[in-house]
Amino acid sequence: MLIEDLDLAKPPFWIAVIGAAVVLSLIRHLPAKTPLFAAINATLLAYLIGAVNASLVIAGLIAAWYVARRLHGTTRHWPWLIPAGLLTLALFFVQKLPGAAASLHAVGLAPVLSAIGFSYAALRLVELWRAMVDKRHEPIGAIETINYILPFHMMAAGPIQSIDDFIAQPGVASQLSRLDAIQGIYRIALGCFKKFVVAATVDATLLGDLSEPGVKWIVQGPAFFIWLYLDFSAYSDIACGAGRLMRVHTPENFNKPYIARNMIDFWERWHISLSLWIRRNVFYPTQLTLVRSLGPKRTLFCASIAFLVAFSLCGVWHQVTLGWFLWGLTNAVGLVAVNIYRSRMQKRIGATGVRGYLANRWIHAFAVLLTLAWVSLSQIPVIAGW
Amino acid sequence: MEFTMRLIKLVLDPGPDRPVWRYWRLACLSAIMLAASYMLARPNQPFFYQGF
Repeated sequence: MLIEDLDLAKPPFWIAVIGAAVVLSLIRHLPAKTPLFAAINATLLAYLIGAVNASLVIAGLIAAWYVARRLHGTTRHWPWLIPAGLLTLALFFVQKLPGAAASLHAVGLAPVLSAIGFSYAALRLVELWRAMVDKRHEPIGAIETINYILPFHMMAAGPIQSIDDFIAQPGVASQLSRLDAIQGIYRIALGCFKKFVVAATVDATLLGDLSEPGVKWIVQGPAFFIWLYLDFSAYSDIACGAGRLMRVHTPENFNKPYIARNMIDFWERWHISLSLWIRRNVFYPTQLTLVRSLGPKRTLFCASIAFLVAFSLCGVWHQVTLGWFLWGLTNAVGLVAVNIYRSRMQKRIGATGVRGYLANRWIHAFAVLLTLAWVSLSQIPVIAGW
Repeated sequence: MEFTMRLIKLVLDPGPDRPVWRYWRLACLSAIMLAASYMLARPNQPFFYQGF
């Protein structure tokens, strides 16, 4: 069987969305909705990767659920965390390390991992296991684990729902209202329009052969950023629209990143769910550990190191290549620079001066352009295919 | 003229007190965007996530 990534141009995805929206809104009994949504997720999974592979993936999810239960019930976490973490990491490398993926292609593992969006699933697994280790929540059920780790509309490219959000708003909620229906359809239409009309126009007019280095990168860098935003946010629009139709809470992933005035602002607007995941699971723990060992007087230094660690890992999460590592490093340097600049400015001109600085339109416009330039620059190692 | 301006305002920003207009506006915009997407999509163009 030929295993492909989820193609939104083919009917099964839309049959699943419409079927789920209709069936879930017809059922009044709330507890029945969770297994029904899990059945829809499993059915689409079986269509994508075949029944045998889907059974193996679901068996893996049940194993992950069992690990989560054991982590919650014990204070000795390592006997469970080490094997589960190493296996997750190994599967991640199979998907994201180009050489490993190619050598294991014949086995069929890499296409399955790609089709189920394993890199996103791995981040959700970390969220789940961390919540169990910290005893923040009671363990969720096996069926809820399927809905949390592999919701079909968030499978290909996120968003990454936090476990707190998933538990606070159960996977399948209230009835579909007329406003939900029209707003869901509108978001889906907006996603299609961005992808097939606007992004296609940018691609045809401004992007050419990106692998040839040269002066044209000055135009192609920002154009690539605009295209990437349109293409990526189109998926998020469709995921949010589908989630709205099915009444499955789906977090927002973008908030006008092209008007960000600095890199910290940019990462609060671009791929928001990933940015929040990094903040919760890498940045804060790293920063806290460093502050505890170096003392509170060196908070700026600790934050800088935490940015470098968090965004280097973020780069490698995209793909285990030098280009993506440099992308992460460039973003981290931008974030560190903004953090230091902000701190120095606060000390030098005080709160009133900062308010005036932020209100200045010319400074704002320059800051937005500088941010766009830095974001474009950071993409060059990736565009070049390093 | 005044009627046209009011109509444009209703389409662009119907306001929270006009839910029917909001539905129609969203429905019309959705139909236009879907039609444009359908017409401009290349034949058999896949809809994969092409980023990473």
